[in-house]
This record gives sequence, C-alpha cells and structure tokens, in this order.
Amino acid sequence: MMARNYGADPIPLGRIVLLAVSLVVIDALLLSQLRIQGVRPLPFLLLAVIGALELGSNNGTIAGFIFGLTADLFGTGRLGVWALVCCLLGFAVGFARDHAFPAARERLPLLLIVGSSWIGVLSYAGITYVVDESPVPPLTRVGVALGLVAAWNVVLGWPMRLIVRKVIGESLR
Amino acid sequence: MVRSGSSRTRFILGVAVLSSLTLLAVGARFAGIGSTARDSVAPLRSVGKKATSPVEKAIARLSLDKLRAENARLRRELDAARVNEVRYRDAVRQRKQLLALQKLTDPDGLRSVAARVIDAGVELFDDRIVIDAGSNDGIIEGAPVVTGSGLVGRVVLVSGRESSVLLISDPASRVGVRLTESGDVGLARGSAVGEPLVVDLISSDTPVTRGEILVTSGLQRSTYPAGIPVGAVRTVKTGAIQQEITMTPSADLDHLEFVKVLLPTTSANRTPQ
Repeated sequence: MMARNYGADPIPLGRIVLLAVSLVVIDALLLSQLRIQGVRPLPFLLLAVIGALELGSNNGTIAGFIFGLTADLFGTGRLGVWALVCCLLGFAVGFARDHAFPAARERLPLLLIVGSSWIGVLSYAGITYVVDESPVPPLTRVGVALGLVAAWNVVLGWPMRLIVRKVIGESLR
Repeated sequence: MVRSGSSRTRFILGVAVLSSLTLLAVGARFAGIGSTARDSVAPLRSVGKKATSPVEKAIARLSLDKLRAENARLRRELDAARVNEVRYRDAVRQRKQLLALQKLTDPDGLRSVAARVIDAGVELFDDRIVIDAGSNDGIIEGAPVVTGSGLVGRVVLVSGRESSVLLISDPASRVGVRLTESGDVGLARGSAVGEPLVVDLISSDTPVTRGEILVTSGLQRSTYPAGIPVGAVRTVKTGAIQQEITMTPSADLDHLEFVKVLLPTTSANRTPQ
C-alpha cells in the first residue's frame, strides 16, 4: 500500500485560526464547566489529534502548534507546554495516518484517539515535572486523568470531527 | 527553495519544536499576553457558569439520600456548635488581645473581595480554581482565599478581571498550621483534591485528638494571617520523631461557588507558609 503525501497540501492557516478562536469561545462557555472527578475535557488536545487526521503530518504539526499555543495563552499553566505537546502529537498522529492508517481520515479510529490522549496527558505531566519541577502527581490522579481525558475525547471526537471537516476539510477538496 | 517530502517534514517539526521550547524558556516574560487573553474570555466564563449552575443544582437535588445524611450530620454538628459558642465568644476576646500584644494580623480585620468561582481544575494536575475578580478589584498575588468554613488557598496568578487560586489540596501548597488544643505548630501540605492534607512537624509527644481543628499559624513572613480554620484532624499515627497526621479541609474544596479574597495590608511578596 502506497502512503499518500498529504503534507504537500497548502496549509489553511486562516481556517485553523478560526477553529482555534471558535474553540476558545465554546470552551469558555461550556466545556470548562464540564467536570468529572475534577477532570475537564482538553478540547485543544483533541483538536490537534483530529486536525492531524485531516491534514497529515506536515500541516498537522503546524495546526497542533497553533492549537497548543492557544491552549497555553488561555490557560494558567506555563506558556509553551501545550504548544510542544500538541505539535508533537499533531506530527505523530499525522505521520501515523500518512504511513500506517491511510483510511483514518474516513473513519475515526477510537484507538488512536485514546492512545494519543494518553500520550498527550503523560507528555504534559512529564514536561511540567521537568520544566516547573512540580511535584509528581499521585498515581491514582494520573490514572483518573488518563481515563477521563480519553473518555471525554472519545465522546467529543465525533462532533469535533464534524466541525473540523466542515471548516478545514472543505479547503482541502 | 523546493524541499523533498521528508526534509520538509523534518523542517516543519524542527521549527515547531524549537518555537515551543523558546516559549517554554522565555514565556514567563510574556505573562501579560496570557493575562490579556484570559481577561478577554472572563465574561464568557461567567456567562457559562451562570448558565450551567441551575443544571448543577438540579443534579445535586436528585441525590436525596445524600442530602438526608448530610442534614442529620449538620444537626449533630449544630448541637455541638451551640455548646462551643459560649467558649468561642470568650476565646475571641482573648485572641484579639493576644494578637494585639504579638502585633499579628487579625483576619477579621482585613479588607476582602467576594468572588465567584468561574472555572475549576483548569490544569490537569494542579488543584486550582479561577475566580471572577482580579487586579481591577485590588487582588494581588499571594492573597489568601477563604470561605465561611475556612481556608481555600492563595492567589497565584492575577489578570485584570480574574485570578487563579492554588488550593491548599495541591501538592505544591504549604500552609503553616497550629493545633488549637496544644498550640503546637506544623506544616500542612496537599496531595490532591478529595484527598486529606498531610500535617508534618508535629512532635511525637504532642497530644492530638481526632477532629481537633487546625488553624493558620500566621507565623512571621507567612502569607496567611493567623487564626483561619484550615481543617480537622482525620487520622493520627505516632512515629519515631514526628506524628503522621492527616487533615480534612474545613472548606468544601470540591464544591466551591463563592469565595472571599483577603487583601493583605502589607506586601504580598512573602514566602508561603
């Protein structure tokens, strides 16, 4: 099976920024109020994953960086952590789509969503531990966060994908 | 210059990672940008909170059994509180005199700002809340945050319209505490929301009873004024050098809706204790 080079597509920068701004509004109005066991959805992480599934590795990396930077700007953590996590995740998911799961753009692979959510959460914990010298969170807390973030992302995956395809997907046709 | 597919991929990834690392390194200098960004969505957060609070209350009303049990517990506590009230009045009078003698700050005499909690758990592993009052309301970094029940935490990040509060349950939080019976001082540290706080530095020979209240010690250079209830002793285990004590926070940190920010009368640049 030959891998498609989706990376050659021109990047729809304006549409990516539009998505990021829209998600800031949705997050402030609704998503920030949704919490289970103190864990809320991480929509920008999910957006980086779904964006990479649509855009491939090259543009997925750029989109991931923009979404992560937006999360950093509107969050209270250290600037740059989510940007780093989301650009790496955007690259990894886009690379996997380009080379291993070319059908991922047509079907939403739940395993990929769950796996990338876990990698995103663990990367975030690792980077903040190294950069901020923050205390290691209790293992139970990490386990709860891993489970709930993955669950939120699975639940929000379909509607998020519809929005992303509507905004970004049309520019690729 | 035309790049091949793989070298273009490496170039883009390299630039993105380098940009992120640069932000990590110098991001603190641009805290003002984040502050402005958060301010711009603060009204949206307030609207979202107001819109969803009836749903939250409706869900809470559904748990009748929990409410009945809570009601019974509150009645028992009320009976005990009536007995303690007489002792309390006398203790308050004595405390005011002692605080004046020691030149310590009386928390009852501090100015305060009431604020609504508009977001909670904003970061994955930090126990923080966001409140809808900021530097425009006179709030500064380090200001103690309380409810009617006791200490909640301290302000760690301030923008014009909102502030981020580090809860006492956060693993990075340290609060100097004093046992109300013996007067011994210790250090309370958080572990996670919903988990009890751990109290260190209480020596093995100090008598500690389950349910004993701990208040802020207000020792020299402390962020928190003396006498704010922090929690009640949950478990006590005698160790070789010090006692292993856990404490349940007085304030219900899982269901915060309104809080009060105490405005320190002196500089906020103090070491949290």
